[in-house]
Amino acid sequence: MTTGLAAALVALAALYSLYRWCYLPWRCNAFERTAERTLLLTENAEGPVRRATIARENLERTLQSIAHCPHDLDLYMIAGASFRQLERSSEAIPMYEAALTLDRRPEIYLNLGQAEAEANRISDAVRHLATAVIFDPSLISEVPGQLQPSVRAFVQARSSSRSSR
Amino acid sequence: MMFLSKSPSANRWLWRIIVGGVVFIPVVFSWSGKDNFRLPKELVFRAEAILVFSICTALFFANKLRRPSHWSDASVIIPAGVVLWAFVCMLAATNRALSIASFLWVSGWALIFLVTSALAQDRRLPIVYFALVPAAVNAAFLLLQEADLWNPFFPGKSLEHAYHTGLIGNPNDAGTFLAAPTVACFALVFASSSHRLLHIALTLFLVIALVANHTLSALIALGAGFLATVFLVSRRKAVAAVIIACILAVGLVWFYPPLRFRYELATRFISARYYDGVLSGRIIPFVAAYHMFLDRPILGVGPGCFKWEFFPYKVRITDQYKKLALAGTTVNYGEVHNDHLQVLAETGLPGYALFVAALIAIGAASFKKSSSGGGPEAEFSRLASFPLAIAFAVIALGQFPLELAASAAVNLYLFALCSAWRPHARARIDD
Repeated sequence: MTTGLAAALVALAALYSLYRWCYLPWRCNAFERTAERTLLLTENAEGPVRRATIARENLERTLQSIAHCPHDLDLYMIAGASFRQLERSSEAIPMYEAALTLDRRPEIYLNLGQAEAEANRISDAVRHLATAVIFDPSLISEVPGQLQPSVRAFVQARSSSRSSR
Repeated sequence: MMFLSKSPSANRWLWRIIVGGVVFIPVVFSWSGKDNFRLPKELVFRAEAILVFSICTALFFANKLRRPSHWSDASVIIPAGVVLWAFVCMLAATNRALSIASFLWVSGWALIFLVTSALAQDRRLPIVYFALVPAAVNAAFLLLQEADLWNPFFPGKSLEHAYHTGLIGNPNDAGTFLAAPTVACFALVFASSSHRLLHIALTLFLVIALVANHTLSALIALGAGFLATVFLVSRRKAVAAVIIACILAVGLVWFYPPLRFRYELATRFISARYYDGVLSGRIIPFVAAYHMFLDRPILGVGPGCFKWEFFPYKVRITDQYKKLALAGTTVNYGEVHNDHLQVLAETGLPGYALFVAALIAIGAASFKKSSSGGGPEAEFSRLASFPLAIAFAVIALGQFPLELAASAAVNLYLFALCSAWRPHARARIDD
């Protein structure tokens, strides 16, 4: 009886594990491809109402996928981009910050900085955009024009302080 | 017996799952996902590890699990040590959430190795084919792509080498995957007189695919593995083999355009002192891993945390080594592209010592003498253990076989067979 119970519990645990760590990531991976295509579709959609509708639907599905796959960085990036398409840049910021807990990549810092600039959090924006540019100087072209001088100055100041050490 | 369950049906199911893993992991892919190759393979590995762990747990509670009769056996101690040390490093990791996933990866592979090694002990030589079948399938895909005959994954991009990926997803990963099965197939040629023509034909087929793929680390690893095999067959013939290998290598570089191009590029880079170009732009991840090791020499940054730490280290290195012409300064490396340095950076000196000990333990099986006559299985273990260990050590200098499900699956499967069939393991079965 105890052996049978143990076997049943192990079987249930195995089924749950397969669902949680095999099936759900497979679904999230399939969704990401659709979601990225939808982001492009939104950019090219005619009319602001149509764009907002597509972006809102995409965002809802992305947030559901994040609940299933909370360690999938790409989902946070898609959610952040969707929030920005809906001009809700302040809500995009926590998505990029969550992505930064999973990996530190220049494109995450760049998107975070852009979202912060759109949300008028200028000092944070300059700091994060400069971090992206320090890694990859060519990203300066992606920095909003009005912030480029500040970002350059930040990078220059950092470079000078490192040289003086 | 070393480690088996008392339930024959459980053993059969465990074996089916193990074989399913080694056959399907290298060939599974997704048409509809964002990541069509690596993630599906990793998910099949996770399923395999979950099922094997569950069955072993159920057997444990049912008191049907046989404990190892020789706890001091290297094939038990080293995997256990690897898991234990990975756990310790995970606790001290710079990003524990990331590190937990890598710890589970290491534990899963260690369990699969142990179970495979236990179950293979009373199985026969044909089980080697389970590693060769997915290799042949991938080789066929690679050759069709290289010959511009069929490329279902990247239509319209057939001429670009970057899209000749087999079912692995990346040309370098495909070369990394093919090296071990090719070395094993070559060992089969000498280990058994039956089906010799088939083994020779399959070896040639895999070699042609590897040459067409022209991943340098894989080709050098293949050469090292083949020479080690010939050395084990006959030390006198090994001298002639080295000479033939050198002539073949020179001929290949001279007459095969992709390798000739790489040679000419390398000589130009060297004369311009642009050494990073010779190393395909990998000085930055190599130096980053080295500095991670220097900063945390005992515990490392934690399993799976190289990619987390790469950003700040890369910024530091490009500042520090301004005089060195560095390529790839804008590339964000998720792996070191050198498993020796990756293990050193992520698990420190003790972790690297375990890695080296594992390779030595595998390779040493080639030099153990059997008190009984052995059979084709013992002969395969003798002829394949050292070459596989050498090939793995070489390919880990330029690629990352431990981080990819396909190459990890096939390498660990072949290592497990070599461990199961080594002379002392066989003698224990015959007792």
